[in-house]
Amino acid sequence: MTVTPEAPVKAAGSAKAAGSAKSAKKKYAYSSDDIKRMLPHRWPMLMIDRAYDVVPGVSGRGVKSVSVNEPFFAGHYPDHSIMPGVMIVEAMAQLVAVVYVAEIIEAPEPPAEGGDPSESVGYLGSISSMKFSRLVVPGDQLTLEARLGQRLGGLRQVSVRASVGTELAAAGSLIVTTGRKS
Amino acid sequence: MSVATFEDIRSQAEARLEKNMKVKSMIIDRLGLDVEPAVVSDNQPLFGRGLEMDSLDTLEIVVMVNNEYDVLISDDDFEAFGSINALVDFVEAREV
Repeated sequence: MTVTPEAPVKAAGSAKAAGSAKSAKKKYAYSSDDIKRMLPHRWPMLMIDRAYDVVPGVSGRGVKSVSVNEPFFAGHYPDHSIMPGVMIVEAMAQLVAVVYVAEIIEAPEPPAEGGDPSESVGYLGSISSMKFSRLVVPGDQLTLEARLGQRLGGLRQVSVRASVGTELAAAGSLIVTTGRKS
Repeated sequence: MSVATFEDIRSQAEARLEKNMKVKSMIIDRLGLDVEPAVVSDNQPLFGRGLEMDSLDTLEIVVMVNNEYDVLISDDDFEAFGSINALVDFVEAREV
């Protein structure tokens, strides 16, 4: 049985199911246009360019290409551009949101017409642990990984990683809320 | 039918006390609380007064218990969060 290759899926116009093996869970890929339909975030806070290997509600990978034009580089720092760690965490959290919104839009019976899946995107509840092991600078491409863990009520524990090439940039665990019940 | 001796019961009680203390230390460590494990009583509530845990802390404990004892706590298992004793009872009833 074949499983989806680990390499990034080429940017696709729309989500495509990649895995077909019955035992393997289907993996989906989302372009930035797809992601804009899944997340409420917009410039300058949309921190994920593409998602792939997404197993809805379980795990996924994503890409964030870091350009010198990112607004935060104007002040962080004027003569020494480094991506703020909290923005890396934001990128991770947005991938997490893509993974759980995918569960809604890829459900066998999608929600009734008119429902906006991005409204189910919740908040960051806790940065339980996070370690930053490499500076992220303009030109770097962050590969993001997220694996959703246990849930309790509307809370979900997640393990996240971000790397540049083969080098780990940050890893840790978060708690997110699914839904916007303040 | 065997009858538990005084020594058996005493060693069971000691093992339980030790386990309670371990769980207290783990919770305090994980949640970064500023208390000594020894001053947390076994029947003190975990929420509100007592350890003043909130729902985020609860999920941290769910993850901790799963990692340490391979026991899953779900939404319906609120009795597990009554106190340290309740949590350890819950774990002991399901541990393999």
